[in-house]
Amino acid sequence: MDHTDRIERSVVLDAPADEIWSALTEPERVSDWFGADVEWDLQPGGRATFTFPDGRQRPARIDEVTPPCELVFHYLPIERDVDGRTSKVPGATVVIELEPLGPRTRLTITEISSFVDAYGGAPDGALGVPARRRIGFRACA
Amino acid sequence: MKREERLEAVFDALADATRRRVIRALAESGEGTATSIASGLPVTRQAVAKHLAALSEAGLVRAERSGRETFYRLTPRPLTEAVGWMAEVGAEWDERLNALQRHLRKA
Repeated sequence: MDHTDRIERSVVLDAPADEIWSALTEPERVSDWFGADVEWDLQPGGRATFTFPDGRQRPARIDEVTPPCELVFHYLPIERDVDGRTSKVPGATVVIELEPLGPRTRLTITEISSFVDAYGGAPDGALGVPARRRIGFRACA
Repeated sequence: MKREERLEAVFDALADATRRRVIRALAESGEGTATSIASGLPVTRQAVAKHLAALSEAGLVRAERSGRETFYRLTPRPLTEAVGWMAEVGAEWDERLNALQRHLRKA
């Protein structure tokens, strides 16, 4: 029960890391599997917007982009409804890691809500690299 | 309190190792006082009392006074809600990962 507000999923995919990286980062490909359209400026500090089928928008910020092994973004703690009204929601950091396994690739997704700043994150809830290392993320090899 | 605020309070409460032990102790014993809980933990009664106050604030425990003693019980709803929230986020990612696998097969 050490990381109560952290969701982790890991799958081995039958594709090389480069191919998965492009499926994870090209907006027209992301829309096909993420369940939202994404517009983003894919560089650290870049802005991102996820638009869900019901019209809700979730703004985010790109934290780290290391092709083809690590993508980190942070959902800002607000949501816009279809009429543009904003409401406060918990922020969350999403860490996507790719690890080559021969011709296949292990994909690990971790979503950590920013309900708490318990892991030494920045005041806006983003987790800096040192904090993420402390909670067990590998750095890119 | 809105659901998000309640969840925030729950995760905040759970972020502390001693508070988690206090919760576990209450889950095992059904109810307890600061003194009875502290007797099974390597912390002082004062520290347990402080954690119980925080848990009570978060709605995770309910306090009942009986004479000079205050008895605490877990209130299951906030925890159930937190588990539900985690299940939702997890299910969302399960769906996405399945869709990603389909997407990669198509490509």
